[in-house]
Amino acid sequence: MILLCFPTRLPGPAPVSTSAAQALARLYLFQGVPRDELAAFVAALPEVVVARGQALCRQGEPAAQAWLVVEGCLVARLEAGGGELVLGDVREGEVAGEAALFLPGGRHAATVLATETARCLLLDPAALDGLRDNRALLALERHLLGCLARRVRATNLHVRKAALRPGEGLGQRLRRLWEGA
Amino acid sequence: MLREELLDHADAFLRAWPVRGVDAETLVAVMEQGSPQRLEAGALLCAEGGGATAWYLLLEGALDATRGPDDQPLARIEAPALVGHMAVIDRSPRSASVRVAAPALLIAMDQRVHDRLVGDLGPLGAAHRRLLLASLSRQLCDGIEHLRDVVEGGEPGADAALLQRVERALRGWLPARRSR
Repeated sequence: MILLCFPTRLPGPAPVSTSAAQALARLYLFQGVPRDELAAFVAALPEVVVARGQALCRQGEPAAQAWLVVEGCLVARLEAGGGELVLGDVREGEVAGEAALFLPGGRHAATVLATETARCLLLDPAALDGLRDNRALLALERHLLGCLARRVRATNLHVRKAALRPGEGLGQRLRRLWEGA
Repeated sequence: MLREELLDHADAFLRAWPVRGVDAETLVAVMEQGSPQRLEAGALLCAEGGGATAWYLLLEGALDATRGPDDQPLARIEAPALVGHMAVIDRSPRSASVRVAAPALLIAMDQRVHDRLVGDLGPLGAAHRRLLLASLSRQLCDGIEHLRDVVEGGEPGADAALLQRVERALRGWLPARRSR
């Protein structure tokens, strides 16, 4: 596997990346989280910077970690049928590769690339276990519940739209798109 | 329900659907926050378009999910399973109707219990969130896998990537055209 992202510092109590903590503090989902707990959350997680076009993970790879976007934007793509489908963007405060955090032995279902230079926090299951009583983690998990519900609905919609109906040709399919069906 | 009985169900659930960081004892503690229900075949658990008041852990039996006025079958859900949580999480209407297909034992986690646990900083709250997050992650992975199968299904013209590009182009163009 080609390593395409570069850890800028190692996990540990110091140094505290105040800039990452400040960036996260501006996000709605972390409003109400005590600053010291947000700082501890950021300090426990390594930061990675990924350049535009570079991949954080690739479809089919074992899922061992996930990423919280601090700044910038990622995109999740599905390689299928010789082409690529855009599944959706992953923006500030959102998580990519989350299956690694909750499902043992999973694989990344999609490739995640940076659409612009992105700063992320590396979410490792073991590191998160050490943050169980941290309100920033609670806020992130609550936010992730809503994000995942939206992604599941969006993916189901993709399936319905990608599937040709019985007896339908490409022309009829395009007409259905035209009519917004 | 007896605790030993719940523990057996929790074991069975986690064998089928393992959740990182949640063991059977913790899952039992989560289950104890809900209300056990026994429903006979044919009972309606939730109706499409209706408001969500609870999500459910299906411990025994089976459910049928249907959609549309003619009750088009969507899926048979066998125990153990987690059912009806998306509508509770994002407070959206039920996307399908669910009826009991075989006598069922469920734990109902109502909206009030859900809201309390989802904001709980203790181990119970963490297990509750992880249970739901694991289920949603699994649903998302399965959905993406299904999408890939549809795209690679070999149906003539089912080139979803091409269709997606065409759709985007149409979307950019249609509003201007339609406003004429």
